[in-house]
Amino acid sequence: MSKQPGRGLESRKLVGELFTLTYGALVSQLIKDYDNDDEINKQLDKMGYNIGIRLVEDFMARSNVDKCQDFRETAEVLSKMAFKMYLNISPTIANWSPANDEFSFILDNNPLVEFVELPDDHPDLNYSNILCGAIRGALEMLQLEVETWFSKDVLKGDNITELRVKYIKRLTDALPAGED
Amino acid sequence: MTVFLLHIYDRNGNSLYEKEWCRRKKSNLTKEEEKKLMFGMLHSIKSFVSKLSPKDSKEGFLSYTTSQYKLHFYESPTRLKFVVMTDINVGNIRETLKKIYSSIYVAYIARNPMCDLAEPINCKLFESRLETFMKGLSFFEDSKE
Amino acid sequence: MSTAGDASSVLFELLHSSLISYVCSSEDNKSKSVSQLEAHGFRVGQSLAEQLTKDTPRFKDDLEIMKFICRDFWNAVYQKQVDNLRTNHQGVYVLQDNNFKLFTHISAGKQYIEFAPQVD
Repeated sequence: MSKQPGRGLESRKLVGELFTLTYGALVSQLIKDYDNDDEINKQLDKMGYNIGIRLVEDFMARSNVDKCQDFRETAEVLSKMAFKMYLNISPTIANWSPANDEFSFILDNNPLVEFVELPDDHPDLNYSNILCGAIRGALEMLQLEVETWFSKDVLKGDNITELRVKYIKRLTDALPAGED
Repeated sequence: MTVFLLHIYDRNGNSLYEKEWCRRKKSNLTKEEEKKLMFGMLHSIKSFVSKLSPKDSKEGFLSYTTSQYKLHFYESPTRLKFVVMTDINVGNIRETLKKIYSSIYVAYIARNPMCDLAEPINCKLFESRLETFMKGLSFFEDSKE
Repeated sequence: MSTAGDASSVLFELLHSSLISYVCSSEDNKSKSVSQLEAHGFRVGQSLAEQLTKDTPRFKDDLEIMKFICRDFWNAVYQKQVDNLRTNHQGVYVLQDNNFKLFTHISAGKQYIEFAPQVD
């Protein structure tokens, strides 16, 4: 007899699979629509941004975290809470720059790329680029401007997948025109 | 006790939503001017309060009271501003304001792909959930004077 | 009022709506974009169904397949079952979900109904 999938591990796994497959559908659509990998990367980043600016509201509503004191704490919260909550992974934080304004997430297992092989004619495609945009969008809503990019990707033959995050500046609120 | 009105502003001071349940006196300002002045005032109070504060306070400016009304203020970590005006007998309703953010705004606007986050809110589901929530508050009183 | 739900499904919903808005904005003909979305859904559904049925015996008939869709499949995708399954016994099945997960944050009435695909 067919059993209902339990609410536990099995259903979580299926939600993850549904997510991975849907993301695959999105990338395949972009590959169909654009010849240029840079353009696809840009589109993925833009979509990620739009997801990030909404997801950060959900994150804040759930997590009740306080304002981070420094960039190191931001990295921790992203890895241990945000990645964990939404993708069920906790990337390792590594490769801090001497000025503490740049670090990497090492994605030991990247749920977006399960069952994925990069097509030969798309050597510059950053398949998971949506993650860069999502991080950038979410942090921007918290007044933190960052740059994000994939510096290594196992899909491209690297031994690890490394997402780099660089602090640019703190943003301040704009006042509506005519207010001083 | 009575809830007079609610305002939501985005991070740039644009008014996203406003609702008046009970208003006894009209100002002689246009709606636009009134909203702008309110935001400017909140912005000033907020930054003045944090400048005076001896240490970096998490909560900052919570409310002020006049002889006629009380204004309650909550800013989400993403800098959306929620303002509720009540009569002066209402106590600290910070949790209520937080809830308007976390279980109504986030659920029906942030998670609603039909709503543009930068545009004034025009979503019936949001409005009806908000209405139900507000009317269920112990200090809400729909007075029609 | 429990609206939070599982965090990972929030991310799925946002991804899902990005796919929809991308397909709809790149294609100005609504029925074409709907069929594109359907094609994506087909592939996703196929893989999920394979996963879900790998340890189950073959289905005996249509009705068993429909029951699988209404229970196991719906549960996997929407964490609930279909509320009502009707049939005219001539191969037409109507699945009714009274609280469709992807709509619960959008509307409970007729607002936005003009964006829904029309039934031919």
